Amino acid sequence: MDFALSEEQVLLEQTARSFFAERLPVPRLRRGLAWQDSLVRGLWAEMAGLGWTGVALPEASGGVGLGALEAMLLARAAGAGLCPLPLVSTLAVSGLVRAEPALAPEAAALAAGRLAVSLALDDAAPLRHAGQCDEHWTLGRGAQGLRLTRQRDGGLASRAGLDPLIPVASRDGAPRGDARACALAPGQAADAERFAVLCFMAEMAGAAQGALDLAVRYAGERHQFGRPVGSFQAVKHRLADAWVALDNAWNACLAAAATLDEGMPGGAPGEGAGGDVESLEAERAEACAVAHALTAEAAREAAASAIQAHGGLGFTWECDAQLHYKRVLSLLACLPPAERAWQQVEAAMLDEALPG
Amino acid sequence: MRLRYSSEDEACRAHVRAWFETHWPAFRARWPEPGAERTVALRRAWEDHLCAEGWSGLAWPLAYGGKAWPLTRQAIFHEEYARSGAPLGMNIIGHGILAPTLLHFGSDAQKERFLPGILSNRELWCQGYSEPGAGSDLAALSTRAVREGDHYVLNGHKIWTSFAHLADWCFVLARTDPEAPRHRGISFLLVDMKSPGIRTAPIRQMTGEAEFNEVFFENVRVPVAQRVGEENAGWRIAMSAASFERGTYFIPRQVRFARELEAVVALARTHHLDGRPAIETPSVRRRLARLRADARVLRLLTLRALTAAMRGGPPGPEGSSTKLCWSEAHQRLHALAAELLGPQALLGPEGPEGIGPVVREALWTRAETLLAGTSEIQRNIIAEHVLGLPRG
Repeated sequence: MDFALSEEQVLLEQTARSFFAERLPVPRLRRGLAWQDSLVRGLWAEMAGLGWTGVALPEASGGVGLGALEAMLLARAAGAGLCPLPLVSTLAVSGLVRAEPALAPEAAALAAGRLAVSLALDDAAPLRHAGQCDEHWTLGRGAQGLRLTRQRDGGLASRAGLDPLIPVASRDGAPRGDARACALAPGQAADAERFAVLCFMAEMAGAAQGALDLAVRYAGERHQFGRPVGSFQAVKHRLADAWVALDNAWNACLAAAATLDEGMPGGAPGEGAGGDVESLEAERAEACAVAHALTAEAAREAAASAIQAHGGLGFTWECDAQLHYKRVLSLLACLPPAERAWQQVEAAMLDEALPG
Repeated sequence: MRLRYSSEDEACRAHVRAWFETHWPAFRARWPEPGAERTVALRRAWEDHLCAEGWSGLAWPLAYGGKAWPLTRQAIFHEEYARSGAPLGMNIIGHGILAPTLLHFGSDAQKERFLPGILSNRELWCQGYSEPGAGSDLAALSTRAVREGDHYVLNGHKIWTSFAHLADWCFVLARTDPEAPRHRGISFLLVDMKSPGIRTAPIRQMTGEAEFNEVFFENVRVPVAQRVGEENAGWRIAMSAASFERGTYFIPRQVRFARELEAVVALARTHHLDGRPAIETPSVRRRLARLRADARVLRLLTLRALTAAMRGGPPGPEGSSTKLCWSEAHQRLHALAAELLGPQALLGPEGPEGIGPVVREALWTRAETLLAGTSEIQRNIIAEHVLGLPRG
């Protein structure tokens, strides 16, 4: 029993946080990054060189051979730093690449930084990171279960979207996914999708935590009625509630990642009671659904509370809290709805068949 | 990161589980009345039985008759105890707060005098902290202890003292230096409840029961040898006492929560709303699913506290978050249960089995966001000590 991160895991996240704060500070992000810019490509190569893009890919393919937990830690740091590059997407496809033999050749390119992927989890979702990645992958739901389609990024008309830092392109008029689509085996596809959702949840948790950090700093500095506004209980209790909900959600994410990693290469060892395949699958399904449901709510609420704590400033374009809020909203929009996650929790509780 | 116990620990669990599965039903069968497990008589006798069978002093050093169990084993014991459905004893304050305080701060004479009585459950303890004028602001307490030779003379008024009417001893926070800054003039005294000058008056709760008391001290003489630690060092001792059990404190509560949730799910299957089983109502399903998520979160919070205690770091303010989440979720759980009773709830807390206890619990949980630091105090602690926001 050891429900805590290892020193190496803590260090990994800290390193990534410092990297984003120093190399991609928010004022620079606000000016916009061009994917063709050699400095930007250099940063991407640096992240790959640190082992980040391949953190959860097999060592045989040049990856680091770690698990969902490490991918999530990097994703949270990317969210806290509002990273506009498709690092989280590229991490999020690790589960797919590990599970699907047809994708094995891509592992080396992903790990080496030669392939930057933007992942969508809905066939109808606009393409994120348009003009800022090499390929768009879409994990869609067809009659035969999950199906992956891929298309090159080139030639898409990108524009600023809800998240000002991440350009998007409409699917209308975009070239159709090419012939390299593949159907995924149901069992593995479920875990691969969970892996991806957890990565985006971690990014959302990071973006929300970043918003809360800004709000706490502001509430400690801003004075009204002769006192810092953060000394008023109406303000501090709302921020405390935001922290509690995010902390709970993050714990649920950690536990879900540990469950997903159990028995995987590089993951936590399975031991003791309840290690059979059926109960592990049930545990993974419920742990991931709870993490999804809680993080979606906690992140939205924390980022909204951060805007409120900034008073009128929170509504301005100048205030970075809005960037965090929009990152959370845009991730919520492109992920499966939390409603589905709650229905999965209901089904698990009542021993009913799981909805999709 | 590892969310399972080792196979050695699981072997220990099997042993503990087997003991509870044998002993608790057999013990319970000797008390024919329904609801007997909530009575003082049964809870005391059950705790005596546990202690007689050696389930006492698990965390204590061997030298004082303890078992010196590692934390994971203690955690497993508390999980299995709660899982069995057996009630808590009456001397939780003695076992959980006073004993570790004495082990840490007590004199050799105090340990020899008082630890055996806790180990065997012969002496029941209560805690004299809160006062009518010192609740959330405990350091404002005004009970006075004035030194006269080798005694203190104690005068004051304590409140919310659980089981004071039954207790043999009380540990009391009293002001020994009214001139000192308020946290530095308080001492920690062990008071014999049979001393002349002590009067207890029960406080009737909204559940109809009276577990709490007011305790009045009028010129009560307390030997100086019954002061724990230095004079005026009582505040620090009381604050440490609160952290001794941090690794295991919420484990029974979390396990009970999960058990109670199963019972509420069962209730939702059998009780009807608008002519249909309540479980078919979407809002009921969703509220139950949220409680299921709460149960998972509470388990993770207790595992985090256990891990932190095993690693030996100083206790963090995250305990406030666990208390806050548990007490508020527990209220929601029992409020839903009582709601599912529909009009049957009118029969009240004294109603028949299956109804009365459900109503009683729903009423009782109102206390949980008040006792041991209100939810407002917990939010202040989180805001000030986790987030670093300024004090009000």
